[in-house]
Amino acid sequence: MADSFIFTPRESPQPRVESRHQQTVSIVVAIVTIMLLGGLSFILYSRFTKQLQPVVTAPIPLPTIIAPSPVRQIPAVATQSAFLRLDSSVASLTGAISAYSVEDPSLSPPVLEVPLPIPR
Amino acid sequence: MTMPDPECYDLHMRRLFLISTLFFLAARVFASSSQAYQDYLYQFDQYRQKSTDFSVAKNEYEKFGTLTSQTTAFQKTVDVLSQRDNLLRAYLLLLNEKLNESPGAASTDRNLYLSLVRNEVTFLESHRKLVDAIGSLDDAKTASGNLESHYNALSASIRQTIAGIALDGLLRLASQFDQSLSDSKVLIVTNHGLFTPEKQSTLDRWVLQITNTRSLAQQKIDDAKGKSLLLSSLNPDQQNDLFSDIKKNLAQGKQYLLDGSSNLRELVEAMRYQDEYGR
Repeated sequence: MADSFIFTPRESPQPRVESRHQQTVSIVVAIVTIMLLGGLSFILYSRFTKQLQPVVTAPIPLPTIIAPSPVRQIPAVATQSAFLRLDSSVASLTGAISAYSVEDPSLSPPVLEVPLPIPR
Repeated sequence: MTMPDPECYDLHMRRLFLISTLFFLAARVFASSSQAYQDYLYQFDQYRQKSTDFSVAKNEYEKFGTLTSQTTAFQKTVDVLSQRDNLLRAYLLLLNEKLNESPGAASTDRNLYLSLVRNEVTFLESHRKLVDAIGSLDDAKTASGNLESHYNALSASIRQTIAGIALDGLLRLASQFDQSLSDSKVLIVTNHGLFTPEKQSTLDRWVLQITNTRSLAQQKIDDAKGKSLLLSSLNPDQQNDLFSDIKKNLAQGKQYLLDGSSNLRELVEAMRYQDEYGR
């Protein structure tokens, strides 16, 4: 019974001698794995901790419809000198009427004391 | 080198002289009314000063009753009465110059207003002689009463003249309006064949509408003119009320003319273009 408690050391395995190439590959794999894990963690972290931003969708441009502007024909009357004179006179008339003032402030009559309180 | 033609030279010199004379006269007319206005303002300033001095002297005399205060009050009374005449005369001369500057006034109307102004200036000149002859406070009271009894007629003449000047301005604009309306009617008739029947009908309808608007403006102008002739028979308060009515009529007349000229503008634009349907 006491023999079951005697620790019998296990035989240690023979050390394996790895080649240089194999070592490099292991290191690279390790680094890549760490980077992948790190990147994945960062992505997951930023996704879940960042506030949701409103999604702004770019406006969908409507197809431009080029409508032709209405073509206004100028009749012969509009080129006559009488018409041009009329056009000018109506324009100046409107301005003159707008500028007319019923009351000329410079013509306000003087306010006098009438009757004059002359002492006796 | 050829010598200048003496006849041609003489003709050019005459033209130059005529143009210079006209320019000088025009400048003188406008300079006259602005000069008259400056003179009026000066007389008004003097009147305010002398009126204040008179009030002070009167109060002192009434308070102390001394011979010195009586003499001062008498002197200040004469000064203010004299200055009152000067002020009214300067104002009437201003009205006179403004009337001369109104080129559109019919000769009969202008002569009426000029005679009103002239009559009042004549009255003031005779009143001035009365003021110069004042020897006592009783004389001063008599002289002052002489002007005060005439004051209704004086203020009616003044208001009538002011209304006449404003009426003249509006009548000039109405005359220009009539000319433009007449020209547009001639154009429409002359170019009858160039407009489609639809357009012709529209133009004719618009011309009728503009003519109606012009009639309404004339109605207001006539109302104002009629009322201005009633001013002389009223007391000052009634004159003020009627004068306000006259101004209101003139403002309404102006508005009708403005609406009409806006419609004329539309008429011109309608004649200027044809739409896509050829109208």
